[in-house]
This record gives sequence, structure tokens and C-alpha cells, in this order.
Amino acid sequence: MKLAPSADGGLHIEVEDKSDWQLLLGILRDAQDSGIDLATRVGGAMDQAADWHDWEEFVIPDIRASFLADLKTVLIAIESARLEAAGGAGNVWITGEDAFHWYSALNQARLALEAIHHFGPGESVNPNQLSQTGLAAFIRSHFYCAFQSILLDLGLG
Amino acid sequence: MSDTETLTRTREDTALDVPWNVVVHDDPVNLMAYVTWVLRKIFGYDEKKAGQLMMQVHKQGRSIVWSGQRERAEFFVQQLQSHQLTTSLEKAT
Repeated sequence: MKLAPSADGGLHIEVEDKSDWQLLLGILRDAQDSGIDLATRVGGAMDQAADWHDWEEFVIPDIRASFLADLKTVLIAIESARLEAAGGAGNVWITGEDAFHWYSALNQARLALEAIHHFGPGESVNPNQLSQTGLAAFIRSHFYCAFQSILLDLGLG
Repeated sequence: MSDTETLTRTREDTALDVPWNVVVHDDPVNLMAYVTWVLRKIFGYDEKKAGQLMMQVHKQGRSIVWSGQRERAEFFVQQLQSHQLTTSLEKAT
């Protein structure tokens, strides 16, 4: 897989084979399969506020919906490109308009992986001490982080 | 008491109940450049101020990024949480 800026200010992902598609779809799996409600997690520090129950009832559902909308945008982009490429080599184009949706999806995936594996700051992790599952998750998290850095460099709109 | 009276009293209470702090908490996931970008986008801070607040979050574990009237503070907390920053609201002491 190769990621490079596109001429229109977005990002071009050059997908080389089936495993690359699985890696991209892994963003969505990691973001959704953890069983952790990230909307509640980012609001978790509010739980000492007197109005937490109102916040949970009226605000968190909107935040949850926006997170899901970001994942849906990314899923549609990946699946439509994969269909066009018949699962083989192909291209995904991320416009400047969609860059934030991708950043959000990648962040949701990293937040979920962190909540499960508790890696902490990257420099404090010794990959040799991780289980096979943990190491795979750590590598994916690093990939997502590098992807995010490229999106940040391009500007998120 | 009528509904109108109740509404008036609630607004008075809210107006007097200031300031409230918007607090961003550190986490091991959000990138420093992203936190700076979000603070600039939501509050309109310049690069220097947003960077200083971000470094405070990073080094001290939390930073008061805005203080003021509660309704505005709640709006900002919602915006920050929508950008996946762990954020809380607290009454200024």
C-alpha cells in the first residue's frame, strides 16, 4: 500500500492486493468491534458533574451518531473502491472534504485499541513483551497513527 | 408558579452561575498536532496559544482551555468531545 498526496489536495491510497483491503477495513473493525462506547468514554470525565445524566441523555447520542457517520463515510469509500477493483489492485481517493472523516475513523480505531490493550505512550511500549495479538494491534495502531500524521500534514479542512 | 416565572428564574440562576471551566484531559492517543488544530478550530486561538494549552494538557495531564458562561462552556465541551478529546466541565473555584 502506498499513500501519497493527490493533485487536488487530498490523499491517494494505492492498494496493491487483497491484504491491503483487509488492512483498510481493519480501521472499521478496530473502531467498532471493541464493544467500547467511545462517545461515553470521551465524556467520561464529566461523570462528576451534577448534570451528567442530562449530558448522557441529550449530548452523548449526538456525539455517538457523528462518530458512526464518520465510520460510514470511510466504509463506503473503501467498499466502493474495492468493488471497482474487484478486490485486487486499486485506488482510494480521499478528498480534502472527507479527510476529517478518515482522521476520525482512525482515531476511533486507535482509541478502541488503547482501551483494550493499554499501550500508553508509544515510546513506553516494548514490543517484545506483547502477546501476538497485542503486537498485531500495536502495529495496526502505529499504521493508523502514521496515516493520521499524513492527513494532518495535508490539513483537515 | 407559572411556566414563564419558572423559566425566568432558571435563566437568572444560570447567568449568575459563572464562570465555568472547560477542561481538556490528556490521553495517550490524540496527537499533539491534532489537539492544537482542534483548539484553533473551535476557539479561534492562534498557533502560539493553542500550542501552549496543548503542551499544558500533555505535561500536566489537563488544561483549562476556556472559562465563561455555562451555556457556552457546555457548547464547547460538546464540540471538543465530538473531536474525540476527553473533556469535562467544572465550576471555577
